[in-house]
Amino acid sequence: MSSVRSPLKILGAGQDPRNDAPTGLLYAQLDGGVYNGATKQELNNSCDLSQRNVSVGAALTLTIVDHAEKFLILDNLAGSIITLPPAVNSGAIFTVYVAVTPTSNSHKVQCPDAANTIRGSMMVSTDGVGTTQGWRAPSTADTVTLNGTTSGGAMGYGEWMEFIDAGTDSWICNGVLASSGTNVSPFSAAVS
Amino acid sequence: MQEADPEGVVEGQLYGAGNGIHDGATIEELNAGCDLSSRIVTLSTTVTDYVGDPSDIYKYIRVANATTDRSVTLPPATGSGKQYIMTFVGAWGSVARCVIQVANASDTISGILLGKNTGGTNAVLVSFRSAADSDSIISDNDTTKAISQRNSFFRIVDIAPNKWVVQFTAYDHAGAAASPWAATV
Repeated sequence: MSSVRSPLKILGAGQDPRNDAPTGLLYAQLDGGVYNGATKQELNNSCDLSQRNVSVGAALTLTIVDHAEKFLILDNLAGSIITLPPAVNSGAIFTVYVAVTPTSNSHKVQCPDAANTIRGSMMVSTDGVGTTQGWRAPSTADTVTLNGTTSGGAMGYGEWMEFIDAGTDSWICNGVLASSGTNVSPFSAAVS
Repeated sequence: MQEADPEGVVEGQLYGAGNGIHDGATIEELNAGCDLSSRIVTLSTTVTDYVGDPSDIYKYIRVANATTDRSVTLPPATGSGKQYIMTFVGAWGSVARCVIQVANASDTISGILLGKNTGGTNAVLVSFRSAADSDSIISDNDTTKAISQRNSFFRIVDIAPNKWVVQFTAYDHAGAAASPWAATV
């Protein structure tokens, strides 16, 4: 009897885990030698904690393969800019957390080109027990801008947004942001 | 009796294509991320408190039928990306409280909690922002309701060393709202 238990063993085509493998182990059935399902990258994106939190820095262009299901952190005081990949109806979700209030420029999440748009809404909180303003993206919106004051980004940690690849050239967003001063929409059509 | 595993196979190591060694998520992380049954923690009349363990990766905490106080203590924040989902189901006792708090005095929680300021379908939506030193979310069945409603949903993420962030949508209560944030740890 084996004294070493491998947690995952790939069976060959035609093998039956009920008959061909010790109990207590996890097995994957191969079909012609190829596992048909989640890719290794998809498994890692969803499950590997060491890759989960991603610093955006000054700018980061996302890809679905490398960044889906990860937490993207807006951490540059001079503004962090995220460029989304083209939407292809993959269902991929990008979650964005604000870490710092920009002291110059703005944080932005923008589409890669003029063909892509961002739909959805953002809740923008005013101070304390104040009115919370809901902003809906117009049909032409392709950019979400957090200017650090009126359009969000005024709080830093605690603000968040999600972007979902919901259709060809179509992103859907939601989130909760914090403003100071008179609340304005974070949505615009700025990508040419 | 089964034959011994192939030479070189190591317990705890995940194998895949290529050179045979999977580079990435551990078995524990795969199970936490994909095995729904491994996530669930239920707080009930018999188990009223949950203390998060540093080995937690992705937990779903159901607060069920809270007729007495419930509490959740998060593990120390390290920037790991681990997360807790919390929801509320069942009845909520008139004097019951639910406290979500950090593990130590170095950790804080940041977030914006949204709620309806008065009962009714067209009530004003208010917001309560965390303070720099906020380390607890205290929810009762009166003015500081945060998770005490069936439609409440929290996601709490270990985003940075000593820093948790919370995502939260809307809750409802009958009277004037009060902030659920506190600095108690």
